[in-house]
This record gives sequence, C-alpha cells and structure tokens, in this order.
Amino acid sequence: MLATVSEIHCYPVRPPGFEEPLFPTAESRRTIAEHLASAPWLSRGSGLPGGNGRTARRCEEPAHVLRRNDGRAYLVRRCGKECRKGHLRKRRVVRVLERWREVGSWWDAQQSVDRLVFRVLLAGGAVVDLALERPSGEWLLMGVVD
Amino acid sequence: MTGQGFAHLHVRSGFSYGFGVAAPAELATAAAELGMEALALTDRDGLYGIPRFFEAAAGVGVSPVVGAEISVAEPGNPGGHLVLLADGMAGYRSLCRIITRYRCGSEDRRSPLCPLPVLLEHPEGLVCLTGAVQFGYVPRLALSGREGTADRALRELREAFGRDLYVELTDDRTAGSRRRMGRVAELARRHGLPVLATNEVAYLRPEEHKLHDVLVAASNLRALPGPGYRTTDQLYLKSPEQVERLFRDRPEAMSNAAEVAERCAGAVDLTGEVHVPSVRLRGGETARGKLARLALRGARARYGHVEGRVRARLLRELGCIEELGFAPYFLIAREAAEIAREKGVPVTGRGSAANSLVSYCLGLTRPEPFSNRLLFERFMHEFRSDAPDIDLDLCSVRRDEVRDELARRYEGYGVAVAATAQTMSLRGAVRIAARALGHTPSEIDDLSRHVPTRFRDRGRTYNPLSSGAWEEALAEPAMRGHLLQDTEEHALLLEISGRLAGRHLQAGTHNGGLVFGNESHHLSELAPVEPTAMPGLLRVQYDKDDLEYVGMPKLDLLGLRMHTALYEAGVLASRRLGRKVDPYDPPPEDRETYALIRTGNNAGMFQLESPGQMHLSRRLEPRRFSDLVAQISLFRPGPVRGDLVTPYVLRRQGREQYSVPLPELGPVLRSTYGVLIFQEQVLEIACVVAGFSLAEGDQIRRAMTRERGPGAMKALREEFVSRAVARGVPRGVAREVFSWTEGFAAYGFSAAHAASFAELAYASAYMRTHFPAEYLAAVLNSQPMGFYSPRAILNEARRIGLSILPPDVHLSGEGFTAEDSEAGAALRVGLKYARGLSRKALSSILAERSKAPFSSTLDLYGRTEVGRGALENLVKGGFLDALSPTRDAGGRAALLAEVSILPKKPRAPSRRSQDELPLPHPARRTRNRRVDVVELRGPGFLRLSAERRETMEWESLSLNVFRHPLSAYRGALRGLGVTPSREILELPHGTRARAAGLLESLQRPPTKSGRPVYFLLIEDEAGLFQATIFEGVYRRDGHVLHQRGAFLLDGKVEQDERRGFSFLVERVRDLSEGLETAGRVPEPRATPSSGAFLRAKRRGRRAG
Repeated sequence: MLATVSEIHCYPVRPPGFEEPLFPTAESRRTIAEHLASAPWLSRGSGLPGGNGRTARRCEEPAHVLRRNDGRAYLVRRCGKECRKGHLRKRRVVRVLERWREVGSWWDAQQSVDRLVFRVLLAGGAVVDLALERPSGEWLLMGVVD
Repeated sequence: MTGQGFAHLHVRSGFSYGFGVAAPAELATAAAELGMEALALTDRDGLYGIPRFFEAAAGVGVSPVVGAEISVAEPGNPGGHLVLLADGMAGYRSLCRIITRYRCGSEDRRSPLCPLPVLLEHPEGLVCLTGAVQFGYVPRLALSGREGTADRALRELREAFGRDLYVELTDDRTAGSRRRMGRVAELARRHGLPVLATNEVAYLRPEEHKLHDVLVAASNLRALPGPGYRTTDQLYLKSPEQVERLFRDRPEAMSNAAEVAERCAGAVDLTGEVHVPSVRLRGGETARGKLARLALRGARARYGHVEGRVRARLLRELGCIEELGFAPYFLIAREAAEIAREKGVPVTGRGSAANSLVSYCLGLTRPEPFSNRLLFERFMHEFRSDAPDIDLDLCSVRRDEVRDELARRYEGYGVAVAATAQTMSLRGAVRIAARALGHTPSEIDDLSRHVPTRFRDRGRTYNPLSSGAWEEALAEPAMRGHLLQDTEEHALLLEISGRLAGRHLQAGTHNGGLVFGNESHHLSELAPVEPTAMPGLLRVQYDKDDLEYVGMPKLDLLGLRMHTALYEAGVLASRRLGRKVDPYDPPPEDRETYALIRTGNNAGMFQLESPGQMHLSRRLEPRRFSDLVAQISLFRPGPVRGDLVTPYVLRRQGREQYSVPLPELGPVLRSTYGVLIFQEQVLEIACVVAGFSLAEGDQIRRAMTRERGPGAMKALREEFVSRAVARGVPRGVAREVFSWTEGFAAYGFSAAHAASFAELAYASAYMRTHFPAEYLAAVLNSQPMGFYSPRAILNEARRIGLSILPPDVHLSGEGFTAEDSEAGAALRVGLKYARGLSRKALSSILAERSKAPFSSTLDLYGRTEVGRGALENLVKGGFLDALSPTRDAGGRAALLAEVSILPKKPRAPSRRSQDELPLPHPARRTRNRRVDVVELRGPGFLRLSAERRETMEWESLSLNVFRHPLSAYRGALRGLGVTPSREILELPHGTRARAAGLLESLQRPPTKSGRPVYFLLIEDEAGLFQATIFEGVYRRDGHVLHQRGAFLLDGKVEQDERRGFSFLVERVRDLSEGLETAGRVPEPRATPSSGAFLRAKRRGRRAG
C-alpha cells in the first residue's frame, strides 16, 4: 500500500488509548528488535545497492583495537551505562569491508582531519567505522553503519 | 615487477590553471624516477604545457603522450570532463581544433565548456576516456541517478570513437570510492566497453594537496574550502606498484592503460618542421619573386644602383631566404610595416633582423648594414633550423591598429597572438594563499606589502621549492617589522606561499607576438587558439619559447613609448615652427646633439638616460653614431660584469694601449679598441682565425651561448684550434682566442640591435637638444615610459631653463603643451594629470569650453561630466584658480568650500565601461595622503600659504608646478649640512658629505665581484644624483629606503681616475625625520618595480 507524505502526516502520531512510551521496558524493546532483525523486508543500509555508505549513527568515541598474534583483531570500548563503572565490551573484527582516507579542513587547527578509516563487520553483525588518527595513532569509533 | 608498462594517462600540471600544481618538467622527472616509460599530460581545456613537457620528457627518457581534459557540458546535465589522448599527428590536430572551437565559442572564456556534439565531430586520431570517477562526464551522470543519460552518452561516444573509447576507473580513496568505481565498472560491463585505470593526477606528492586546495579556492575567489572540495590527498603521481595495488581486482584496467600508453607514447612529434606562414599574393606571383622584386626596388632607392657588394649580398641573402622558405615571413613583416606607414604610425625594426640587407631594403630596419659591419649570418643562415625573428617597434598607442589590420587580412589562415605563462612571485603567492585562508582584502594588503615581489630579482633568487625561501625574504630590510615576521602566527601562510611561489598562475597575452597559419594548416590545427580579455583578439596557447619549439615563426609588433613621444614631439615642433619637423630624419652627426649627450644630462633620451648611461656618456664622450652603438652595447649586464667598460673608455681616450694576439684580428677589433663588444665580432674572429665560414662562426657563437655540456665545448674548441693551427696560427694563441671568445659569447650584444636602438637614441637626443619644450612635453604625455618619473622630468625641464606654466581649465590641453611665454619656451600642465578625471569628463571639458568659458565651479560641474571628487582635484591642482574669488591660487579654499556643498552626481549606469574609468594617471609615481581637507573649509576662507598650495598640487597632480619640492626646505637643509648634489660631484676624493633628495629608483645591477651593491638614485633641486650603498649599510638602513620616499644620505666621495665619481653611502635616514619641525617633505611612495629593484610609485589611481 502506498501513501503520500501528506497522508502520513494526517495520521495521528499516537493512536487513542496508547500510552507513552510505546516500549517502556527492555523486554518490549527486545521483542520489537528481534522482529525487525528477522523481517524479510528490511535490509542492512551498507548492503543496499544505491546506498551512500553514510553511517546511521555518527559518533567520535575513543576506542581500542586489540590485535592478537593469530591475526585476529578486536574492537574494545566502554559503552552503555556500564561506562561509568569501567566495563568494557569486546567485539571481534570479522572482516574489513572497506577502507579510505580522510584528509580535510587542514587550514583549521580545530577541524583538521587526517585519518585512515576502516569499515568493519563485527562479530554479532554490526558494521562500524573505525578511524586511525594521524599522526597520533589513536583509534576512534566513528559511527555505526547498521 | 608489478604494474608492468603502466603509465599515467590523466595528469594535470600547473598549466591546468587554478587546479594543477606541478610543472610538466617535474612530472616528467618524477615519472622517470618511478620507472615509467611514458606519461601523458592532460591539462584542463588546453595544451599550454605540451611543448615544455616534450622538452623535459626527452631529457629524462620518458615518452610523452599528448592529451587534454575537456570540460563537457550538456543542457540539463551536471557536466564533467572527458579525457582525450592523441595517438598521432591527426589526433593532435583534432585536439587543437576541438579546443579552439569550444574555447572560442564559450560564453565565459575563463570557464569554457565543450558541447558534446563539438567533441563528437572530431574524433580522428583520438582516444577517449570517460573521465575520473565521480567528476568525469559519464561517471557523474551514472552516479547521480541519470543512468539513462549516461547510457545515451556512452552510445554516442562509442559511435564517434569506436574501439578508442575507454571507461576510466579511478579510486581517490575517499569514503565510498570503491563502491562508486564498482558502479562505473558495471556500467562499462553493460556496454561492453573496456575499462582503464588512471589516478587523475593533480599534484606530484601527497603533501601538495594543500597547494591544490588553495589554488582551487583562490581561483574561484573563495576562502577554503573551494568549490568541489575533496577530502583527499591521493591525487598524486603514484608509482605503478601503488596503482596496481588499487586495481588488483581489475587487472584489465591496468593492462588497458599500458596498452593505450604504448600506442600513444611518442606518437605526436611537434619538432622538425617549421610552419612558415602563407602570404597573400596576386595571381601567378610567388613569394620568392615578390620578395626579390621588393628588395631590389628598396636597394635601388637606398643605393642608387644595385651592383658590386650590394648586389652580391642581396643575392646571397635572397638565396638563403628562399632555401629556408622564409620569403612569406619577410613579406608579411613588410606588409605590417607598410600598414603602419599608411596609417602614419611610426615603425622601426630592432634585433638581429637589422643584420639583413633584405630587411634594410624592405624598410623593416634602419641601420645601414655595410657601414655598421652587420652580418647576415648573425640573423640567419642555411645551418639554422629555427625560424628567424623579426621584431618591429611601433607607437605603443597605435600598435593595435596595425596588428588588427594585419590580423584582418590573414584571418583566412588564422592569426593570433602568443600567450605568456605567468608565474607567482612570492608576494603574489602570499596574496593567493591569504585569500584562500580567509583573510580580508585589507589584511591581504597588509600581509603582502613589502614582500619581495619577484621570485628572481637581478640574479638573486628566492627559491620557492626550498624551505629557505622565506628565511631569505624575511631577512630583507624591506620586511623589517612586517606582520609576517611573526612566523608562529602565520606559519601556515608562510608555508603555503613559500611553496606556491614560482608556480603557474594563469595564461597571459603577448599583445604584439603574432603567429599565422598557412595553406597547409589553419592556425587552429597547429596550436589551440583561445579568446583573450581584449574583444576580438585571439591567442595561441603557447608562449614564445613554445612557439620556437614547435616551429611557428612569430612576428613581434611591439609597442614602444619612445615612438609615441618622438612622433608627438615632431607634431608639436612642426606646429610651433610652421614647418615639417621629422624626428625620424634628423641631420646626421649633429654636433650640438653629441655635445648635450656628453654632458650626461640625458633625462628623456632613449637608452641613454639611465644613471649608468649618463655616467658613461661623460666618460665615453661620444662624438659619432658608432660611439652611440658601442655605448648602448657596453652598458649591459655582461660587459659590466666582465668590466669591459673601463678598458674601452681608457683606450678610446688614448690613456691605455692595446694589442691583439693576431694581426688578423686587427680589422675586426679596431673599431672597438680591441675590446670584444658585439656578437658579430665572434663570427668574424672564427672566420679570420680558424677559417670558418660566417655561418659556421654563428654556430660556434650559438653553441657558446646556449651552455652546451663540457664535452660539446671541448669538441668545439678542438675543431677551432686544429683549423686555426692548420692556417698557421700558433696552438697557444688559438686556444687563447677561443677562450676569449667563449668567455665573451655568454653576454655579447648584437651590433644590429644596438645600431637599431642607437638610431632612436640619436633621434631622441636630437629632439631633446633642439626642441626641448616639445620633446619633454611629449615625454610627459607618453607616461609611463623611460627611467624617470614625471616629477623628475618636469624638474629637469625647469633646470634646463624651460618655464612651467600653471594648469588652467581654459588653457591646458589634454596633456602637457609647449607654449611660448615671456621667459621663453614653456610647458603647461595638461588636464589628464588631474587625478581621477575620466576620459569622458576630460572630453566634456574640452568640448564645453570651446562653446563658452566656464564662469564658476558650479557652471563647470553642471555643463560637464566631471564628478565631485574630480572637481575637487581640479581645484586642488590649480586648474580652476581663475574661477576663484581672488582669481589666483589663494582662493582655492573658497572653491573647495563651494565644491563641498555640491550635490553628488548619480553614478553612471555602467562602471565597467572603459569610458567611465578615469584615465590612468600619468604621474603615477608620487603620492602624499597627508592633506587635511577639513582645514581648508574653515570659516573665513583664509588665503592659502604657498606651501599649502604646493601640497595640494602634489596631492592632485603628483607634480610640483611652482617649484622643486625641496625648494621650500632649502634653508632647513642647509642647516642640516646638506650639500647640493652638483657640488658633491666636484668634491675631492675622500670628502665626507651629506646629500638629500627624493627617491627615483633603487637598483641592484650585477657586479664583477658578484657582491650585491645597491644604486640609489635621488633627485634634489640641483639634479639627479646616484649614490652607492654596500651590503652592510643596506642591511642596516635599507628599511628606510623601502618605507619612505625622501632621504638624508651621509657618505664619502670617491673620485677614481679609472671609474670616475661615486658617492658611498654610510648612513641612510628619513628626510622628514631629519627635518623635524621644519616640515614634512612631499615624498613619493616607494614601490617594487620590475625594471628597478624599487622605484617611486607608478600605479594609476581611480576617481573616488
């Protein structure tokens, strides 16, 4: 079924009888997430043929990339509410999907960028952009693609 | 080895103006170092860099591929570029045709766009690449959701180029670049087209991406980031291995690049053929026949009858010209001279063409070849493969008339002027970089002021590619206290500008260098042609050296201000005397003229007016024309550095004896007292000592001049010595003579060129001697010209006894006029010296005053086009004194008050129209901004003091009508112990003295020792005075010279028997500072200048 934008806008944002928030508990959010993950009509942004490759969520968080002797690499970062408690989350880098250079705004000391960016598939299915900053050699989590 | 056979086929150099960074030679050298056997140069919308790319590639063993990046636009499409590569001469000609067609047809000449059909019409001999991914014409269509249009474009391109169409793949390693490349590759697969790998090179090394970004932004008059900014540093000349790694998954793209490179490399050969222009001939007539007929006719007119040596030489020259096929070239040059004569435009020849009797007989040159010992072989001979060069000097104001008429006659073959390749000076680079870094215009002015303007200055080089460029510049006294001394604050600006200096900026136009097509090839098939800023004037994309390289003879129609001045002086003198005075036909060997030259007071004389020439005039004491020829040749960098002047002068004065190593050299060197001055003498020496023919002698001269390698010179020396020995010359003497000529050849001067200039020098000296008022008026009306500012010329006129009449709106002409006054001949200041007066306003004054005189400032304001600002300047200049209540200069305050309450006139609709612009101010050297106008409008309109009026005149006219600027300070200067310059000249050796004067110029000519020595030319009441400043003093006090315009000089007099007078400066001070309470001297503003190291300001001004 097709609908125009104006028709969608006419539709009430919250149907009568529904209370906010729609998914107040972790359980209810997990249910809808599992539903979306298994939905056949939903594709990963990075996999779309006409996709522009932009991240779905952009951030610039310090990260650590752990490289083992066996060649495996892991993304290690603090995340979620556990950040305050110092909990770390580690995800294995399954594959480097793409890599590129970003060099820009060199004339502005605050905005200057010089980095090598890797788009990687992590164990668990997430696709994220990791940047190796130059010349500091620090890693940044640039964003989550999908 | 990986990347086997790969060559970059999409490479932009600095000739992609405002985009590319590296010079073609840098690219070729780097390609050779990276192991590439071939390299393409594909500059944007042009082939500007191709000849020098060929030259450089040949030097490093890289095969050049000729190509261009064509900016394509289609209505409704985003546009983009295609790359065309020539696989032979047919392809080169197609490329030239395509570029000419769309560049001449584009609305905006600075952003030309090629309609696709134009490109599809000329596919012969061309390989087409679809353009870099994302920005190429086809990829941009495909990636912007216009797949259908992309498909159609590919079909059309394939129809035109067939198997020579390749889909270009590039990976700039930005986000998504692999995906985009994949989509373009998929497009190629769908169409069954081959893919080809490139790296769309824009700079040589990754770190140069900053220069590229700056050039793009600045050329679009934007701060960074510029339009289409790309966050990449990958557009550099990568090694084949690096490219191979990028295209590891697409080996066919690499192999196709290698295949196309192999096919196109070296396929275009631009050398070996001279494209002599075709001349218009009547039916059945040949160029050779016409040239012989005209030459014989000219010879009869000049020599009476043609026989003996005249006939023999004419036949010899005509035979050589015919053999080399240059008869049409001579005929076109003659046609240009004839057009000039028909139009009454003064014309003379210059350069080595005067060595030719044919040129003389055709009326192209004036010096008589036999009496001046001019040798045809110095100009051309059978062994020379390059084209001869004929240069004609014309009145600079009317040169374009002649050029345009000649171009109109030959437009069927194609006519255009040569280009120039302009590069950035360090100062220019600061302006470019500062603009890109977002500085405001006033900040840019402050940052660039006093930065050395030239990358190379009189032998001193500011090397843009070394990190020391700025170290050297910042140490200059001119930059003391400069903003850029804060190297931390301006680190980025210093870095960028230091690396930009010396790089290509834009194409310029050589307004007089004409090139022509011929019957075989229209000009647009020989080189791309494009429009210039001047409507209707076309230019080829090659500069003069490139044209020589590709074998296209150039006819130079040069504008010479001296012709303008001489012609006007003749008109003024004829008008006053009521009889014809022809400045181009002065009586020969006029004694009074030579007497004036010998005094050294030569201001205004062509080639004789510089301080050095004035000094030389006093030492050399010329008495005949040949002396002038020698004098002009002697004061050149080479002879000065080689110190040939002193022996010449001493021998001429009989104070030094000379001998020649061989008796055969006697006749050759007798006229120059044993000193080797002229290049022609090298030919004669080779002839009389070693038995070479004159043509062979010229080859030796050229070999010596062009700095051949030591091996070539050794072979030449052995040949010379062995042939001389065979003629009985002792081996040691032969070696000595060869070394002597070898040392000289690097800086010798052509006698023909010197004689051509001496003709004009004598004519100007004659007019200056016998018609000083008319001549100096004409010189003042032909500004900017010569060595001196109008202020100095006017003061010189005053010194030789001419009266200076005040400006008057009813009596002044457009320019200076010569009048008879009670005190004798006089000059009256012209209207165009009033600052800010437009041509239109000036014409309206002349027209209205002929109807009725002006009764008041209001009357003038209402009846003419004069604006309020210009009217104020007319009042300040004294043009309206007669309209003041007091009828004299004292009433200017009242007039200014009247002007201040006048309503402003509405602006003219088009400020861009040339007619609306004020005239360039002829006295563009001096300026004083320190006049407080408010004070003049006070109550009571007090009569102005003489000093105040003078200051106002200085501000408006940049001249001192009433008296010399320093006259008012005579007493104060005496109090400071200042000695007038004339008296200093007579002081004994070793005397300490103090001089004061206004800046004329500061130069740093080459010296024998190579140590920098500065010559400061100042002017005081007594005259012009040259002082010598050595390095130490310059380093300590030089900033005063750059920042002020009037100086106090403490120094010591040197009277050297051999070299004459010099004043060695020990201390330089600001004159106004020295005068303290006595007043502030109206001083000229110092500005860097191309001819001089520093000069009183010359720039024009516009009306406020």
